[in-house]
Amino acid sequence: MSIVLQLAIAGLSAGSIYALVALGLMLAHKGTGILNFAQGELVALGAYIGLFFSVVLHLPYWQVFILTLLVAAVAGALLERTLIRPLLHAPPFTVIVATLAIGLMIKNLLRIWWPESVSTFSSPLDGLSFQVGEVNINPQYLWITACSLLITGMLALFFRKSLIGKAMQAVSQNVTAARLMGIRVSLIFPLTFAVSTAMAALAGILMAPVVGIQAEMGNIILKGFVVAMLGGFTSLIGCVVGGFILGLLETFGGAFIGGTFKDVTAFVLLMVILLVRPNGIFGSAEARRV
Amino acid sequence: MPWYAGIGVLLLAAVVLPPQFGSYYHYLAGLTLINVILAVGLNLLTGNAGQASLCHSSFMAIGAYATTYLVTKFGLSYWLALPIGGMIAAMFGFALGFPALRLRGFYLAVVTLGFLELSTILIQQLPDITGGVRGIATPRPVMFGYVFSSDLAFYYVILAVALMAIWVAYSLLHSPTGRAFNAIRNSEAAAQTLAVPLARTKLIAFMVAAFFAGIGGGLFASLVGFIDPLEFGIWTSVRHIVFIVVGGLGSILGSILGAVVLTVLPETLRGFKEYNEFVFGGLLLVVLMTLPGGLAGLGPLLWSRVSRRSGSASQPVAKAQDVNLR
Repeated sequence: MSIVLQLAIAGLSAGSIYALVALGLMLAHKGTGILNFAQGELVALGAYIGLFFSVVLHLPYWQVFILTLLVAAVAGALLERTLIRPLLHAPPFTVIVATLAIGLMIKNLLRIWWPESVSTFSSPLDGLSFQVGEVNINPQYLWITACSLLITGMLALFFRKSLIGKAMQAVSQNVTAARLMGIRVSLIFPLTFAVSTAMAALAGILMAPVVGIQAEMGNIILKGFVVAMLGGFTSLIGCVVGGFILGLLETFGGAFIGGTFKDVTAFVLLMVILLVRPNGIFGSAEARRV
Repeated sequence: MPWYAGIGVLLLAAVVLPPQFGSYYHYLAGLTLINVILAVGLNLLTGNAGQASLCHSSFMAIGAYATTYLVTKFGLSYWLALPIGGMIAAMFGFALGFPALRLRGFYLAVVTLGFLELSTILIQQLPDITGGVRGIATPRPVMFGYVFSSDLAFYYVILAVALMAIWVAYSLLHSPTGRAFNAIRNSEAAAQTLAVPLARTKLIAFMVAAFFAGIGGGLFASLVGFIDPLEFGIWTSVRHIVFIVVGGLGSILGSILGAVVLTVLPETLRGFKEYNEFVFGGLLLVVLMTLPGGLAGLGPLLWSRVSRRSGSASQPVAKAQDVNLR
């Protein structure tokens, strides 16, 4: 029993990281129509920004946390203004290749700036662990899950209640109509990318103490895609639930079936979704113009 | 000078010149021609049929490992193992083509990315066949007791295969199937109304591209003599995409130009090896945004500017915008 609970906690924390990556992908895709293949590198970028504040400037963890999110948001807005804007009306192939190129450039720069292969920064939860009954619980995992749930909840409130959030939703539904209602679309797009990049950076700094910081962190993007598709690329809840499903499947499959299973879960799940329910668990069928 | 005379001169140079240079240049020339094969294959799929693929390096890996396995474990002749490796890669291309029938644009790219990830993991997890992360050695081919151990001898083998590949691609593009490729890129709906079998055409495109990649992979394994999973990651796939985007989408000449320029250039600028990915990424962005026809589109573009007859310049090259993956 205790092993099941322990695996569940690990699975949920992995799943919430996937959910954050998926959330960033989905926000940008819904808001601007761009599927960002550089999202994984933005996760790595967030982790390296955290590394900079923590290891180079020696700031305490909570300051690192807030500053990283802010810097990532600014970086996201800048990215939109400079490189994403010209892609807005480009066909998918151009968008795919261009964002892949952006990701490649970010990865290369990170590797040059910080040549150490794997590094990490300290968090106040390092080395802590407490026991509940027979279960050994790593508070790091609880913190990851709680923090990402909290921030996702705040994001949901932001979209429901705030004027800017509502404007972003309006733009994602219909750009022209939103513009006619007096929404400044040219401000909403960078804002969308700022939020999306901040989500990626959050995933980066949350997972950094667990898996270590390296330029290859960006490979997580595939899991983000799978989760976003599971959620149908439309809903916040879909992303979170999808993330938990993938995280739990991987952890339990890895423990009971074998390590290879853990690595191929994402791909198998991707195939199953695309063949059985291409619009995800929470998505609805989409009408397409021929 | 008629165009075929130009090709004749180039061919003569490719046959006569290499012995004048050192072994390193033979190796580099071999690598370049392998990249030409890979680029020509990918361009048929992406540039002509309009299907984005991020897993060209997976097919290359399948060809490379299959060829190696058949030669080392079954003692099969390299000349038999190489085409069989290509066919095995084509089978995987066929299998991947099936989900692709239902998918467009972004979703297709995500699936191919997933396949790339899967293939990299499987190479590492099946060390009995692939040598795992430690890699595996591939011998050079033998013919009538003669071992192609010198890079120059093997260069001629690669040259022959590359010429064959270019000829096959050229014939294919001028066949009904090739025209069907271009038709489904331009508009799937319009192509269907003209009785182009959509599913079959897409599957053929995937199989042909995978076959080319598999052959390229088999040659690559033997040229380098050693393969490991790091060779076949996303970076290799993106490099193939850079070849065809910079060279010119949908153009065989473009594939050749892109592969040649972008294989030789990084070798001559070895001091910047660290910045390789950055430069390739930047180049990709610049070409995508400013030069949609790539290098192959540059000639007609300049010619139309010079002659001031904008209508007269033929446009044999697909633009990036034409690769319409809705």
